[in-house]
Amino acid sequence: MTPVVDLTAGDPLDAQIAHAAGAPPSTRWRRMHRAALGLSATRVPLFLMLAAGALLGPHGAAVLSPSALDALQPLVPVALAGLGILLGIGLDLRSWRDVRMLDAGSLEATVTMLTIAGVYVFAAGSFAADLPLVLGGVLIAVCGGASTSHPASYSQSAAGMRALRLIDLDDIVPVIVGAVAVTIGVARAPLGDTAIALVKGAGVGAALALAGRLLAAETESDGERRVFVIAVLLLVAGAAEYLRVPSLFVGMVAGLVWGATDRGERLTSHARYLQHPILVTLLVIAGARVAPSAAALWLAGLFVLARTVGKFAGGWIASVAFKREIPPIAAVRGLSPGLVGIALALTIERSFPAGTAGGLLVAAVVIGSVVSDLLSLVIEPEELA
Amino acid sequence: MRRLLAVGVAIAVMAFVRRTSPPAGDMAATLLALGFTLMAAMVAGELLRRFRLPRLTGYLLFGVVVGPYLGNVITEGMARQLQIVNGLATVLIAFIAGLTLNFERIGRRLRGVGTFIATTLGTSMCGLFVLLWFAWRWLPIDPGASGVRQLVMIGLLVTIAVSFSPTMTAAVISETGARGRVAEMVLATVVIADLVALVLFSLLMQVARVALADRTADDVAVLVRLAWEIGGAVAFGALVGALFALYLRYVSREVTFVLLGVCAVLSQVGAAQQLAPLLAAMSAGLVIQNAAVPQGEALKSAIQRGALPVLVVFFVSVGVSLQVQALASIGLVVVLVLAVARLAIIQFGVIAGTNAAGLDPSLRIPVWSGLISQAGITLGFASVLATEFPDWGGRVQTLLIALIAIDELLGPSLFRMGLARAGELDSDAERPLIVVSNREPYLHSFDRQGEIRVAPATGGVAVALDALMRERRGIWIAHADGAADKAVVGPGDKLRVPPDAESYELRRVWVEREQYSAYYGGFANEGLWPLCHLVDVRPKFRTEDWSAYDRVNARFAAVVDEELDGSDPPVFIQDYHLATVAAHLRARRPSVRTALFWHIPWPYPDRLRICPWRREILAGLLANDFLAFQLERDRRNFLLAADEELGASIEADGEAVRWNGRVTTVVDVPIGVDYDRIQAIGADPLVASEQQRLADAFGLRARLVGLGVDRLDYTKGIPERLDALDRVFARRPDLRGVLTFVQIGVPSRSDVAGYRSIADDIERKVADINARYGQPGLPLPIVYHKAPLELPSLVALYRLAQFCIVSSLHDGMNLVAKEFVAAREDEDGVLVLSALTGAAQELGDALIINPYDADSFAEAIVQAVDMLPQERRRRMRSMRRVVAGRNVFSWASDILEGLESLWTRPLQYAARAPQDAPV
Repeated sequence: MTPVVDLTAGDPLDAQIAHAAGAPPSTRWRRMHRAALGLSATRVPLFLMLAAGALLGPHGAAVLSPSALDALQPLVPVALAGLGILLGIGLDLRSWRDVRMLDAGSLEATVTMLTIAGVYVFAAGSFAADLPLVLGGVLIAVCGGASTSHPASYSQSAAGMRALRLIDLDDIVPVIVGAVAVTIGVARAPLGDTAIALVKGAGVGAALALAGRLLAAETESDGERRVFVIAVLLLVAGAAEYLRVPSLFVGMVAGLVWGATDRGERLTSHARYLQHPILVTLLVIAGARVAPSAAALWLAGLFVLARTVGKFAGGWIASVAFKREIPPIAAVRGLSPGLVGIALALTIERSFPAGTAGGLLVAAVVIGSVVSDLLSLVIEPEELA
Repeated sequence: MRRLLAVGVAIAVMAFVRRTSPPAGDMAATLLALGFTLMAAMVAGELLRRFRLPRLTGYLLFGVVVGPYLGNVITEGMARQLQIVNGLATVLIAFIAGLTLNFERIGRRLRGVGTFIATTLGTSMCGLFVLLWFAWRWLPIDPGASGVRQLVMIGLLVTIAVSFSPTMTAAVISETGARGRVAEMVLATVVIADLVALVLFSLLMQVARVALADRTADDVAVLVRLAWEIGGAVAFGALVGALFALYLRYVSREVTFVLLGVCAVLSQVGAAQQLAPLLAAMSAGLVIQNAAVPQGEALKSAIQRGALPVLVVFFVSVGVSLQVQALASIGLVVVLVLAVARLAIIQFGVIAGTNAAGLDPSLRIPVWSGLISQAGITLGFASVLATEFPDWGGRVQTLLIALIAIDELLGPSLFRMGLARAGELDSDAERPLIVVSNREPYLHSFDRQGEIRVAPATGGVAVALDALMRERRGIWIAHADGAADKAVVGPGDKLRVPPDAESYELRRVWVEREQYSAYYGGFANEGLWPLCHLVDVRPKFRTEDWSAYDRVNARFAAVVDEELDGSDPPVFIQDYHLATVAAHLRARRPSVRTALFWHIPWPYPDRLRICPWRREILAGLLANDFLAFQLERDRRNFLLAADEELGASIEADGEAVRWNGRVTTVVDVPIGVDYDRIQAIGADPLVASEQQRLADAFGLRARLVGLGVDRLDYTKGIPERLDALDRVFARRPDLRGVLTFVQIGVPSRSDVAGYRSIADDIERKVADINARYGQPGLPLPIVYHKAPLELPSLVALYRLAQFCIVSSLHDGMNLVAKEFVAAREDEDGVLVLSALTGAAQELGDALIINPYDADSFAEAIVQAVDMLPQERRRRMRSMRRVVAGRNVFSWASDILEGLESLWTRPLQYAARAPQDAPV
């Protein structure tokens, strides 16, 4: 079974032109796994696009010069909002079992984040001198909490499917914690104001999603629906910028509303249509933002180590807590933080002045993602096949 | 109302975030402006459409109203940000314009079109030149200019004044669904005229730089620069086009991004040459469309995907930039006089053009109405002029903006009226159609008293095509099958139907009985039918059957040829009985436009090889311009077969096949049911009494009723269904006497041995089940009714049943499944559906079964019986959305519009997204 669209397949138009055949999977499958939305880390394209970004970026051929990157800057909140919408749609909570899986995924992500934050505070704080110690720990932990699976290794076994679902659902906590941390840490806002800002952001995301639904309900035109999706995307990104709340978070709320109310897929199918441009934009820009340094490499090494330990521990604890519904080594499927981790790093980086710890964080997470991706090639338990 | 509410929500959100947040940077404002623009402009366009005005006018008016010169919702800063999109859009428009011109499609009309364009442009430019020469002193440009200076200025002004708007033209054609000579002529004219205007403008700008800017340059330098600007841009565009085509052919990765990159390169390259990007983009499009057709089609798909939002923003941005105060600053009278003079002179040019090209004089007004709009390219010219010659160029720009404001607001509406006058609008035009099918829509027979009775065909497709023909008019050609058919036809074997509201002609084709038997019973139903369905029935192919089949197809083609006479309506051929009609017809009439819909599955290549005449069948089908299958799988199998058997070339997007010097578009268009009609029947109060009548007639006293409606055909899986029911009654004794399954079996092709044996088998199984599980005094387990039912009775029965079973062993689509769903307005009932039907691809919320797996089939029936009402409602609601969204009329119009738009499609697609209502 292969997902209908994933990063490996690239631009859907490519497949159309190349006349790549293959029976489309059922709608249910498409909705079942966020991985099938194309958000998964993938072996070659992730690396290639990050590498392409790094090669074209200021530290490479400088085709994407700092001024060019500045010009592309408006695309980042839009792409992050789009990714948030896709994350929200992909949650697709349809039953109590899904809710239990969400709980398990959140537990696993929390354990992973605590592990990473702990390791950072004790061992890596000195690498990011510009960043307050605790805040730095939280921020890098946020980037490591999320995980994505390999579409190339979709499972036919029940255990494998549950593992996939688990890691599909472990992004909510990192996105929310990330939103809180960025709003508090960057705006230096008190907790009460932060909560108000996040509630405002969530309300705005939900309102715009509902506006999109109202518009989609009155048209049978695919073209119009696509325009409405893009309009909502832009409005979400713009509103998040005004509110100074991460557009990833606001987008996720909008996606949740669409996922819950758009069973006929009048909008969500068109949101998926945008996934590839979003992925490419984020990966290339993230790649271009990487400034290689000894500190970044050390931090990346610690990030990978702490995250791998955290994932194993989180997966095991989740399997114990949820009566072995979850395979103990489920988290192996999510060894790579993939695109979501990189998106969280970009979200954090946008909130810091250029040339400070934000850049270091992006570099570490990007390098760490590539290493984790390679690691996940090696560790593939048969029971999840 | 919901749209307005949604816009209200967006405005409220914008106001909320602006009011409750500290000031944000330009980026946040731009994002909000873009999002709001897209959303509200689409709503404004829709609002104007309700007043029968083009949506484009809505976008433009919206831009004017919210722009900095009126409402100031979009401030000057925001408007500047929108211009970023404009740069991309202008290149995209030029690119699209290039992609529009396929000389192969224009074909033999090229000479006439060329003459018309040359004469119209030449006359208009001369007329405008004379007018401006004499009116120069009153124009607010440079009244003191004289001699060469005046000549050059007027030359530039004339060139700009005769530029048009291909995108606007295409968008109006697309929106109105116009088809015909006017639409085609105007589209070709505006594209070629703009190409000419681009070259002329570049030429005159070179002259102007030397003559007006007091620059010293020797003749050689001027010529070199000119050659670079025009020739270099064309060559550069051609090179980019060729490289892009090669990329599409050999790499085909990240095409959307590469397209955007190409547009960026074209818009950036030669910035010093100012207009070179437009010329380069147009020539790139031209190269791809004419030298590499498959790649052009692939590119068209890319534009389909991406262009609509960009174009909406572009039109809004044009509206935003329309400086209404420019009208006041120049003087409304001057602007109006110039606008009227421009239109009058262009009209004069059109008259000269139609005369020179020998075109029908009635085309003059409609074609002229299409040459009014001006937009992107004209604004581009004006902007370049203002940049190079800020003094007088700036005044020209203001004058042109004022003119464009008038032309743009009037143009789309006038063009729509022109198309209506030419009878080319969907709603106004009579666009006759020829339908060819084996089965006739109305059958005449004698009753017992010897009276002639007429009966309409009852199948879903026949009903839909009948409705289509009522609207389109034309001729339906079909085999005469009724005993009294001969008695009612008039001259030419024709009669007007439907009997109650005569609106089209039925042409009956008589075929000798033996020949018909070999054609229909033999090759079609003993050969092709089992060949195309994966069931345990061996196809029988006999030379004499094939010979009869091909002769009957040739006979149909001859009749179509007779009916076409001097006209050129599209021909819509139905199904596997008539696979070689198009080939025979094309031999008689090469330019005919035909589409064929293959209703049944298409076999995979290995199975197709069973057929000794497969190549002839494939060649016959590829003689059509447009070929449609039910499913992507069938389409793919067909493409594989065309490749393997004929060595045909499959184009890059997999939607077209090149063979024998022709191109056939091959698509999948799943058929639907007449949803509205089924709804109307269901809403009729008489349904309740019909339900009662059927319940009485079938003795339906059971609490639970299941239903199966099928032709008695071995592909329908009726014995397998009965086996599954047998297991249900065996495992669930509590259902005996509680559940009755009604099987409607419509006798079919009873002269074919395979059909007779399946009918006998079904009767035996029904009797056996009733004997084993029937209980005295209680309702029967199975009620078997062997006769067709009219649609109202079927709807009544569908609504009576708790579940419906469709268990085909292989089926192209199966409309019973969709009819059942369409009839369940109460959102109740469960559909048990074979995974081997085409319908299963769309109705994922049915209980999907494998008819070969009797145990799981039985389990699914039990699940249907036990399903909770909430679950039933959820599933049915979801399936109804699917069925409602894809009715039989959208199926027919997809095919016919696909056929009719082959000539003008690329630009129209650019202006509207796939399968949708347009801009």
